[in-house]
Amino acid sequence: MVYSIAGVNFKINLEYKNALPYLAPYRTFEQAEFEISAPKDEVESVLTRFGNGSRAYAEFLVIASQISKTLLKHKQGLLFHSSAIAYNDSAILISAPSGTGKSTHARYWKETFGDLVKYINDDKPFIRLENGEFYAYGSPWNGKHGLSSNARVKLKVLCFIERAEKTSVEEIDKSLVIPLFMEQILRFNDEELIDNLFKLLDEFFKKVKIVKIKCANEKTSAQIVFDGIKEFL
Amino acid sequence: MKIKEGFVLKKVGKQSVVVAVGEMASKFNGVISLNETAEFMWKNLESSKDYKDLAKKLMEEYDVDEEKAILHCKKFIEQLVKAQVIDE
Repeated sequence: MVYSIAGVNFKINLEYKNALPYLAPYRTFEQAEFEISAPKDEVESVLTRFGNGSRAYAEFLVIASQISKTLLKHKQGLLFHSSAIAYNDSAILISAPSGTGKSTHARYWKETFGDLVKYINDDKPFIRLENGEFYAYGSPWNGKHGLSSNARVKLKVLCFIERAEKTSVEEIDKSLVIPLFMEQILRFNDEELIDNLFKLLDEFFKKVKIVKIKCANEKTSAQIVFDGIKEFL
Repeated sequence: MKIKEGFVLKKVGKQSVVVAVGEMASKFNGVISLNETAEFMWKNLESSKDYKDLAKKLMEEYDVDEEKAILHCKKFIEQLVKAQVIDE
């Protein structure tokens, strides 16, 4: 079956059927541009890394990785581990190591701004450079809360958050951005992909506002962050 | 001094980093951020015999005294050896 992920049509071959309900909203009847399967050695590798668990889920993760690599190779896009929300027509990515509070912060935005905020993807959205602008896309890989939509929203801000006593929005030390960014993308070895990644990063730095957020675990943090970034939305 | 196979210098705007590619990428997960001085030292590593040699080049390029230059170079090389980026 063919699915449209990040605006690109993929024929996805699956051994296990568990992922089908997650993929369903992305189904398309258009022609596939690429065909994707999960190489067995990569599935084994994922299983080993996560200490076993479901083969079906491991396959699903490898498919995400294969799609990310294909997008990076041919379509100026990739998977970026973050919580992606839309405020009106502007996408905001909230990035941090797992457990820092990305999802919580995204939820505070939803609770504060209601229908002005939509979830794009709470765990693994895709980003893509199209006609000189970056877009955030929803994806079937939507994390433990299952929050995502088949959306495409212009990406305006990337926030790297860290926990703090008090919430504030700050300029980020530019030398930290590349390592922080690379922590949130899926790994690959291919030199061509790495070349493409850095070309994409170059455009990203020019087009998307990147900020550091010190974030207290309080609902009011959403309003404070909004006030700090609204000029960029 | 020899940089191990698989490390490449990449630049984004004014920021420089060293990342691993190919086989090395399976072993080396990190990203090394280089400021301007570090970038210079990286680019001159392979053409330098040791930290003293590198320090000499650093002094030629930047207005820095010998003691500081040697300290910078020694520390830089030590970190790279520790991270298994260069052979000792």
